[in-house]
Amino acid sequence: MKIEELNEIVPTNISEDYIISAIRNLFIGMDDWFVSYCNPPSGSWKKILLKKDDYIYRQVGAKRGVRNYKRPDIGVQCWGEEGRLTLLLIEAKLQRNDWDDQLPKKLQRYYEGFENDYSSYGVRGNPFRFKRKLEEKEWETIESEEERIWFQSIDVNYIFGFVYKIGLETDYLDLSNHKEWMSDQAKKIDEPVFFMGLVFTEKLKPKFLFAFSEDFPEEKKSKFEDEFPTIDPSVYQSSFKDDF
Amino acid sequence: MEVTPLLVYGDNLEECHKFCELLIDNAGSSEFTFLSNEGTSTLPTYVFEHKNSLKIGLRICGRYKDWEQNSRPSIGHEAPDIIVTKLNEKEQEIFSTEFNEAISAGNNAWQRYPRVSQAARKKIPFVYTVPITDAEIYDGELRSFRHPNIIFQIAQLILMAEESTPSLTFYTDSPWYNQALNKGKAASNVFFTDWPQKYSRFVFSIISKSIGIKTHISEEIIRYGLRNMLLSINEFISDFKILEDHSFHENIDDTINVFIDYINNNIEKNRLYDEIDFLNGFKKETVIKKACFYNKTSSTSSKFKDEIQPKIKYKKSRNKKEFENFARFWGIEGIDGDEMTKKEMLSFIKEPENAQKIPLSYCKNNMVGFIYNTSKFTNILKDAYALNEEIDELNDLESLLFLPIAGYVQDTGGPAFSRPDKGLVRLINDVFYERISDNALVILYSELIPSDWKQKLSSAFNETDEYPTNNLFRELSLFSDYVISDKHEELMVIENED
Repeated sequence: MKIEELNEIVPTNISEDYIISAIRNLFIGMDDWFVSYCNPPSGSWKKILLKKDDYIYRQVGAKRGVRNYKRPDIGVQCWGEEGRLTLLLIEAKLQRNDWDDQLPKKLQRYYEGFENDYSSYGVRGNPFRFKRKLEEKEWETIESEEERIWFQSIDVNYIFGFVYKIGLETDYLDLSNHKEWMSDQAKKIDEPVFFMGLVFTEKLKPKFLFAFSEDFPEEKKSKFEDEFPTIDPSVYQSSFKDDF
Repeated sequence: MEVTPLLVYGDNLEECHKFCELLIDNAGSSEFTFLSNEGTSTLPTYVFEHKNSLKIGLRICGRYKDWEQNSRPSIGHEAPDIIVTKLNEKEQEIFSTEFNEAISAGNNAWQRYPRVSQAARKKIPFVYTVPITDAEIYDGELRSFRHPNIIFQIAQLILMAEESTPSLTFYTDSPWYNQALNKGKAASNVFFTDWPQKYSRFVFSIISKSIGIKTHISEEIIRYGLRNMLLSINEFISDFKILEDHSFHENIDDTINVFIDYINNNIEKNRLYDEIDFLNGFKKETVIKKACFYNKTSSTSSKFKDEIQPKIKYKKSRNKKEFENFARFWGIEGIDGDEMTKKEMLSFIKEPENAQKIPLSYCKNNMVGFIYNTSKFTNILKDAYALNEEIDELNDLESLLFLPIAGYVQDTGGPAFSRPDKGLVRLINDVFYERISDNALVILYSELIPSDWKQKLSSAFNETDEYPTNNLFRELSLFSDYVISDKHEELMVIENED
């Protein structure tokens, strides 16, 4: 079989899986960022990895998300120049109607805990047990208590992402409407959030449309704008207008 | 570029990526070389070249559910983490696998078993990966270490012999290994650090065979897998034996050779341990014949718990008098608490002619009871439940497999059948049915069992293989001869044709 024919084989449905995979691939390709957590089915709900200096730290025993808090679909981390850790917590959905303006708070509580709910301790409280050098596979047991609890001892900046599927580019897509919706939500929310819509090509290659809230850190916003393969809604819409 | 097309489907897209990355990273250990990704980052098509210049294209197809029902690959009801298919005029499943990043707690492990079983029954080579050891963490604190439940590997050995198809466990590394080893909770002589290379080598050898390339690699890896499985089982059951005429301790290579013969269809006689000598298992330890007294505990409120369990369960903590009464209740004569120490009493009831009077089990799986004194057992059931006269059929049986399960649990959407129990029924069926007895009784003791349970069981039993359902009742209909609902005090006899 010719390789081109094999590449024509694509599934009939685009599930949340493709959104999560596209986002993961974006961050795997960015030097400063490290994919720290993936919710099942893409990852293990028990395991959080964090990169610090020349090591990956492994925390096990995370918890299920219930009631007042929510496990992110993807957690990525970045160290700032001032040595401060930023965690970007992302929720992926199939449609924009699933957006909930309480989502950033719920995602943050998964890490920080929720003071009015005894059962909701934050996973940041779990000590690390193992670490490994970046290029190595073998885990070492961490002996030092200080090293085991560094994650709970530092300050963390939280930023958030809400990502959803817009559709296939072969469908009629009113991207201006989506851009407008994202901008509206971004204006309303007083948390650092980016909204992102995904358009897939016929071969399921993703393209991204996004908007940032005012509180989103400027340098991160610039970085994302530079790195993410974007689409221009006006171009898209005009091309479809021609078709119709 | 021309390639031989192969498709990779999975439970989710990331699992497919993980599988392919494992092959790419370790292709050097096989006869293939990784060339390039000719697809996209989301849906890659990885091209590998065999040393004879033949190219294969491994296309990631993502999650099963993203395909129309009639174009999904399938090896049965349960979707394993990965299925690889070969694309000719017709798509054909050639390999399947299940990755476990952690060792499941308690009963949760049972629900994965059907994936192991169904692959073997369809003669699809299968690899089950599981960490060599794991730890239970609660609120950030270490509670205990876990090792994989060896009943899985015993079941795989049986499946391999019955179906002439490789069904292997590959043990994977765990950061807890050294700590667990010190506590005796990890197998000490099992190889696991090289599992990615062995895994990749095995998958490529299966691919080679499926596209007509001759290779001896698969046999080499099957030997590696078998050795580790046998060593791991042996770590937790000393002096075990799975073949009638071979002790694993005498010569592991001989035991492995027999299984290779099974896989290559070079063996006629079924040499798997059969129903002889079970009761000698108290002294002579064997694999599925290592007897112990039945002592499963259920805390679910039911007649099973209150009225049946106390009569059939062996408790070490009984005092001499209670011990004597328990033995007498089951018809063991000549036991005298005034004359004998507790140790002497225990030795006495372990004599084969006595032991078979009380409920027994296999020591690493106390979920199932082996009943030889069926008339006593029938009376216990009749005392506990108002059942119809069909229960008296049990009186005439020489032996009975007895499996009490909750059956139903409270799920987020309401009462639902228990997936671990469904898996357990299949496991007990594969490992014990016909080896211990060809009669099986299941008690469903959850109060959530629906009132139309008999109708559901009947429908499951009568359905065709073409459109079978995937639920507890279907498994029960394939395994049980008798089913009792504790809550409804009803018995259903399943008229199996065998």
